[in-house]
Amino acid sequence: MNQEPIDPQAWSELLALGGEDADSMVDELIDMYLEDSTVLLAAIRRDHQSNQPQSLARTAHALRSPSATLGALRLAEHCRRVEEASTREDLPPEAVIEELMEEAHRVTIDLQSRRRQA
Amino acid sequence: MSPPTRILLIDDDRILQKVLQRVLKKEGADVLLASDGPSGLAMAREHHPQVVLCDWNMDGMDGLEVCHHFKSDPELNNLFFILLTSRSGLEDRVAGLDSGADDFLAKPVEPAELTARVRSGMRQYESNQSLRQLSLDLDQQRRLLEEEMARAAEYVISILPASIDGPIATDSLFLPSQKLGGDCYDFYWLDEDHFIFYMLDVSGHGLAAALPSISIYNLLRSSALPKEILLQPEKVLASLNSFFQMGRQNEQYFTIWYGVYQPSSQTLRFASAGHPPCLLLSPFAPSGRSMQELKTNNLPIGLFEDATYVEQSTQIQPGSLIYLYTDGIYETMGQAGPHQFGEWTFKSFTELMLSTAASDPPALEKVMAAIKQTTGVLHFSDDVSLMRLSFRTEPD
Repeated sequence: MNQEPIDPQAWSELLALGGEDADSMVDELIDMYLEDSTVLLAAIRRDHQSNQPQSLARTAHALRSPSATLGALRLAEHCRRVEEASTREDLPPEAVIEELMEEAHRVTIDLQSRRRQA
Repeated sequence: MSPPTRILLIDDDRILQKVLQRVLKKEGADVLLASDGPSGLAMAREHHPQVVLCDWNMDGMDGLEVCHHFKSDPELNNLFFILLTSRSGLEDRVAGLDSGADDFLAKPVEPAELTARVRSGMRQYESNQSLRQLSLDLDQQRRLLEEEMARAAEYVISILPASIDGPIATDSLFLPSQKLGGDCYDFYWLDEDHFIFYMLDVSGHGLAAALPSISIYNLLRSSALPKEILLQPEKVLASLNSFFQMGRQNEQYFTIWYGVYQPSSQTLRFASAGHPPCLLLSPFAPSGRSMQELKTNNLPIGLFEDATYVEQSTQIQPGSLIYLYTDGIYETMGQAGPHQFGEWTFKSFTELMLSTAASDPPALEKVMAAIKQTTGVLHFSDDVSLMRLSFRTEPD
């Protein structure tokens, strides 16, 4: 798996979906994503700190789906790991959450740059 | 051009919503968006989409539950329901199918697959709609037909004779089947010394059977046949056979049992043509009654123009009973299953008639109730007619 935060193939497929005015669609999607992910990342940290595995599973799922749609496949995978661990009612270790946060940070920077390019 | 496909997309991921909406709009579809099950259901009731795309994993009401709500709502259950799922396990598919989902779409969604599944869903929705319409039309036609049959049955009932008392107390019962058969019967005093009674059954069902049976009834009631003929059963049958050569036109025929009783000589003259035998039960004795089957070997009426008919006669003792009936009473109940007589046949029918014929026989309704109880049959598939003559014990 490549090391880029946004999978190039997934991204080009997304652009293909957008068709002629792909740019404006992508801008809109990135804005929505950044808006939502800020809220969701804060919630993930809060759920983890307050030991709420059920809520954590839902939040991680809520971040996973849009991340996958925008090609942030590694982040989606981190989300899935957290979601699955929490669904079993085990709170994942702190390190797993930190990895997710780091990846989310990279994704955010990448998307912001794409937004500016567009 | 047909109106655009209307698709309802229920997903709590608004990014995916946007993307899928775009793909579907490019295909010319009208896309409605809902972010959870309850608002999706409300939207479907208001806007009547043909296809629903619903995510499986959602907070609150999940996709399975949403699907179940759609499929158990008569107003919404005809929609084509596609579950979006990242699950691929067999158990998940089984759960999805059990909740009524019509198709699945794997996440991440592949646009070409999405549009292909929506198109296939539309085709199925449309063929379901035409089947649904067809079944509504058929249902309405069936109801109209049943109403007409019921009206025809009412007419037949209205012309049938009422019970009479006197030296030969006679009563009868007519149970028209839903399809209406061709049963008809009559009994009356032709003059002071001649009591006429007959029963007939035209082949087939519906008006095609009921109309001929009514016209035969009218012919025998009118003075079209002279009295000398009406008093001779074999001549009545021969006359009817020459009038009703129906076989050539529509392969119809009828069976009949016709009798004339003369009190002064206590003689019954009778002729039957393909009709089940009349049951003659001897006067009541402490050992019970004995039973005789009265019939003559003649072909049904209307089969062969040159058929000849014969009659017989027998003495009737005071206190005797006569039962006349159509084959619907025993023939169509073969499937009724086991009962106290084993398989319900003509023989078990006659045994039951004998066992119910006490010294003071019960009303025909009670006899019929006993038949229904014995056979477990509530509704007969053919017309059922039953007539009983009770000959007074002490002649006047």
